[in-house]
Amino acid sequence: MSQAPDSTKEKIALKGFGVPLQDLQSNMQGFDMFSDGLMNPAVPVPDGVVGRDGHPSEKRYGVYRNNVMASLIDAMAANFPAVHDLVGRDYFRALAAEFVRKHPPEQPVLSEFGGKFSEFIGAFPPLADYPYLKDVAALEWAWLRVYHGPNATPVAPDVLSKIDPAKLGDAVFTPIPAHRLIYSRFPLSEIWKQNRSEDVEGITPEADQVILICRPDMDVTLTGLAQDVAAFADLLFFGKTLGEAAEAVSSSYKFFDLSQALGCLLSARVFASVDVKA
Amino acid sequence: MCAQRVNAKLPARGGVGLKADHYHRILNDKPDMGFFEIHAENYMGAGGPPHGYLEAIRRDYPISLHGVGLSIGGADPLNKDHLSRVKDVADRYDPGLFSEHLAWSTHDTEYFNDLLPLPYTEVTLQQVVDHIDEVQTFLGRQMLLENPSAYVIFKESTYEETEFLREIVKRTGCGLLLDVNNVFVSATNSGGSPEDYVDRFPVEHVQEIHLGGHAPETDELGYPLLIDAHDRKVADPVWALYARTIDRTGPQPTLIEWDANIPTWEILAYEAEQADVVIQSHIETQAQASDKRGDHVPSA
Repeated sequence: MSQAPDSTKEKIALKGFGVPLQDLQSNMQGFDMFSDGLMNPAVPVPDGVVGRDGHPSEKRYGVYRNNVMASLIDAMAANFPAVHDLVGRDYFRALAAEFVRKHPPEQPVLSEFGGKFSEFIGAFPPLADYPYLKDVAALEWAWLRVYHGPNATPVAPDVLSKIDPAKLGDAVFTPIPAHRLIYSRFPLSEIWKQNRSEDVEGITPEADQVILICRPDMDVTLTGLAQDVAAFADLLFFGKTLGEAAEAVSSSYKFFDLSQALGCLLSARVFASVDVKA
Repeated sequence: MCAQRVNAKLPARGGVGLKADHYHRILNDKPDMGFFEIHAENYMGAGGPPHGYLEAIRRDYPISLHGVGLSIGGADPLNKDHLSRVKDVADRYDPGLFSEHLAWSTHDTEYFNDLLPLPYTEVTLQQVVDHIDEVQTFLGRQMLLENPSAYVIFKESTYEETEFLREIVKRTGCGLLLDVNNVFVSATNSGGSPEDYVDRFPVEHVQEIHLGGHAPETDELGYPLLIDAHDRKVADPVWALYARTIDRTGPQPTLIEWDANIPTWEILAYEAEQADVVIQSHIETQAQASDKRGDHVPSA
């Protein structure tokens, strides 16, 4: 929309709108002013927003300030319960407030709010001594995406018995859409068990973990993967054939056990289909 | 796709907001409840448990779809992606009604997650009308607009809220959702009379009523400042105002909103039953009055 020159004080009516441009601009300024203070308590109550005596009321405008910040912090606590429990309620609320101010949501679906939280935590100097928190946040975010991800029916774990063994090397594995891989230097599985009361299948509580998060039916499942199995899974998810993926992984991991790796991924039920490339 | 669902139409009875805490109870016991209301934004994921539960519940109950994120009252253009996601939810669940708020929640690119107030002027009227036209055209259905709860007064307002709503209905053909707790909260906060508000409300366009609990506070001058908290039972004066409202609107689908400190199913269901009691009492009073007048009541 072009701006009316300042010299012309006349009101310009927009086509099909019937409202003078000057009023539109002052209306927009009203929304700007009301918005400015919602996340910033230092901004005074906007002009013309008053209580019963006709004067600006901090307490009344403050209800909106409080609703905005408290509800967005609550949404963060709902999305990142393990981070919440690890740092404690008061610390989490202060941390989430900083995050909300820096990265406010840009759309109304709050289960999709907080995608930058892991990165934010990683770059937050006061938490430098707690480097695993970043990974916990990444795991919780991945869990959320998988929880709300598209439904798909996984193939049965014995699917390979139906494929001609001679053609197995050409098999392509399509994952169900609701899956993620999370890599960490820290024992996330233990942290998860303690803070989310859910087990992670097939993992020893050691550092350098890869966790496969997927949702083969209604429940999200977490499976710990050995590094070589994770590398293999990643190549299959990327669309490589079984033969290509096995060869690539074997060259980097000399103890790679193909049948064990396949068994692990098939019992995690992360594949929607297995097709032999023509 | 929509295997064996009950009819979408909401009965003129009490209903409650659908909460994840109650999914299992509802599916196991199939309690007698008029309808469930869902927040559209909670069912916008592609799949997963929320849809699994809602699909199952929708088979046995009608659903009212309530949006909290369209920012109908805002100065910015509507978020088309979000509108499209609302349509997806509506198409998926065939709700009996769709409603949104006379409020805004997005400005520039920021979403504030609160129902923020707007002044009532010629400019905002046109904004709201344009947005409702767009929503109704895109969804291919009528929407209901809900009166907000307000904590502040805008000096620049030139319309009373009831007149503002009446004008919106006239220009868009939308219906209205009358939130009786919001009436009580806003009138108390601005020093007005909730009864006058209900008496002036364009009740012929009301298709649903909301009731909820509020938290009493005071402002810095000592005036009452009620907060629309949805965290407790409906207050007694709000029940009285509801009875007055039903006398004007006739029986309406009536939602109990309880979104924080969520109670047990029994307590929530009891609140909805209280709405049924008020509606039933209205129907009986009407029948007695009509008997006294000697009106001919055709038998069914």
